Amino acid sequence: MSRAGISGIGVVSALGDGAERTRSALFAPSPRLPEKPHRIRTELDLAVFEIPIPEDGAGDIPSLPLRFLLHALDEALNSAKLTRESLRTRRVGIAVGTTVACQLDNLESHSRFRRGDFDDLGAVIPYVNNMPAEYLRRFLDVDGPALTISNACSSGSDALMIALEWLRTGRCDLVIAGGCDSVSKVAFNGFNALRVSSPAPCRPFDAERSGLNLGDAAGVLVLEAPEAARKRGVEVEYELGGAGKTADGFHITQPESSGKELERAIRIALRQAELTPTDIDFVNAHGTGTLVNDRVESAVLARIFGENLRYHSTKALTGHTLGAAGAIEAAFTRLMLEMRRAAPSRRYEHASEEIPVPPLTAASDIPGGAAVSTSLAFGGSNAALVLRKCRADVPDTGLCDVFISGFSLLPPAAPERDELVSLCRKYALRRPDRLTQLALAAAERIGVELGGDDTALITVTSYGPASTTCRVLDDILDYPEEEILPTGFSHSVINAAASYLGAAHRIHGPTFAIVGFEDPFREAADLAKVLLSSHACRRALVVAAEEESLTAQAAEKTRRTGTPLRSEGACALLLSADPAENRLGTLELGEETTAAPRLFSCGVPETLIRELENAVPWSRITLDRLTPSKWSS
Amino acid sequence: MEDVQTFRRELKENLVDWLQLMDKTADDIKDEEPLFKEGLGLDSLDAVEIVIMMQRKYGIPQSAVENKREIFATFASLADFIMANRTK
Repeated sequence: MSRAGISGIGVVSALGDGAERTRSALFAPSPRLPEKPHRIRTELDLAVFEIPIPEDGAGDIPSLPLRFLLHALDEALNSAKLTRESLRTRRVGIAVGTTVACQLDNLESHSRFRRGDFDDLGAVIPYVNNMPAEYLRRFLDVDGPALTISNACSSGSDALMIALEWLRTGRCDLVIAGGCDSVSKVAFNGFNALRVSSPAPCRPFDAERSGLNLGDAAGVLVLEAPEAARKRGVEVEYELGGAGKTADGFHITQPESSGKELERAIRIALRQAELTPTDIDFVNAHGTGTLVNDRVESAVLARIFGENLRYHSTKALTGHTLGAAGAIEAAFTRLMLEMRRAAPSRRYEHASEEIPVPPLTAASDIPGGAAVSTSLAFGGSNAALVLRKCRADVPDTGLCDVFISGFSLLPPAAPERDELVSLCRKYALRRPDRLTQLALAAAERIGVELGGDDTALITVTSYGPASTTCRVLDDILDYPEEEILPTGFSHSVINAAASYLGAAHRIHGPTFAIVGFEDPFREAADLAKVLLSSHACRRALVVAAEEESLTAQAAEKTRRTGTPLRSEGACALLLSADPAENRLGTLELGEETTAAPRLFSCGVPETLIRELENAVPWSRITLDRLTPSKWSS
Repeated sequence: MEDVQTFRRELKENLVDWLQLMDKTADDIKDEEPLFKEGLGLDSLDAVEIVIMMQRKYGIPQSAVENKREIFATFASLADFIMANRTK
């Protein structure tokens, strides 16, 4: 396997613009405090960490997270001594975590759409064109895999885990991975409705903590074999040595109280990095400052690392930067390892019984050998990264054959309400959103047991839970901020469907929610193949789903390529690397293009359907018979 | 005065609709059943949503239900409270 040496980093957050400023700000005596938001209109008394919008190069891009990302990318490429030209000779993969960049959250556009006015598509065109990973692939003119991951607050760490798997299997020989987010009106009001935002500067792990502060940020890491970087004169001291990714399969917003899946994620990452808990200098914890996160997380850390545990949260300095958090904190972790110093956890003052070991309250000298960074997210998505001194490089493991064990497709027979109700009863799911319902029905029709610790779950969509997002926007437009419904927001995150599917089927393996427009289903199936090849999972369930909504309807009007059916739909593909589970043949991804016809916007390429037509006995799907749009074109 | 049974029926249908419950119908909600946990199975976020919907649909300010957990003991206690305090 090729090592994931960290040859470049770029970071911008409330700690400062760039690695140099960040380095000193991590230890500065008087850190910057959060303030009332300047860029969003609100009457709420809540503090956030906004940062200035970068002036350079991307003035025509309305997406703030993407502008932050491009800014961090520039620094990361410079520090790795890479140029755009030099990237074209490498197999470059791009993985970016975000939440805001893949949410159709423009209030002004939405208020027009709901009046039936689709003349000006407003924010929708940028949404389709500025999906971060796909944007970077076009911007850098490279042609490897590009995944935008939206696993809520673990997205940035998840992007780095994918980078590691791409390198381990030789799928890529250089990966640009990171995360980006900005303080948005929807998240700002949503976290307030969930009662987890704090009006005061957040105090992670403190007995008197009262919630989180949101923040703007982006972080980018360049990962490649240390030997490859050395050829350019870049010495790589640290690698991403291991990554563990698990799912609670428990609840859409709350972590499971024992934290056993978080513990499993950390132990997987340590094992992969060939380290034990005593080798770890410090843990950069997720530490959002909410009551539940800090309680569950500190208990798990104490369990694994015992009394020698040294940990902190940097969120008192940056706020919770959602999809960027895992990426910027991996960057901070590398900076601190290099400096041989771990930063204190700011604003921790009051001990409490439920926090078994207090975080670091002063800067601490460390050997600089290895550190862990954790992320927890909505849907019980846990991620743990281990950064360590580089080991010697070894050849990659290669990609194995992957077999199709099951396949299902929702059209032509869309699920009736009765079917959905009985599914929800069967799995004790009270109120899944429409997109989740479609995904659930597709997974069910595969007709085999899906759960387990070693099943991976990848959901795919282009527009996400768009009708739920529309309801959130209606709420914001029509009601006072204090009256916004909390579950609208928690169900409007892209990984809501993955959370529900995981809870229904007890899927605890690596779980990713992928968003995209350039053959996202193919990209997701490709990721499944990588995860199976590297033994990150034994089986992988890929579920694509798309629902009707005003914004999706508007967005489809902008598509210049492809001829997707404007229809709701979902499909599920169960994959395995075990030949004994081969029921429908080998997965052949071929060379699809964005112009290839697909069933519903994010959906399966027709070529795959045609191949499966003969293999799936129950359906004899004929494409001509598929239900066309319920929308008129 | 509005008929209690008619109002309870309407409120049950509203609860299913507001909370977008997929695993329950109005008929599944029993008058004396607890709303939370072992009863209807609602959680704290559902409680927040019910309070907001009481304000939106029945004009009951959020301050009127603060720290009054007994209102949410059963469906019947919730229905009685809304009937007695609604302003629209």
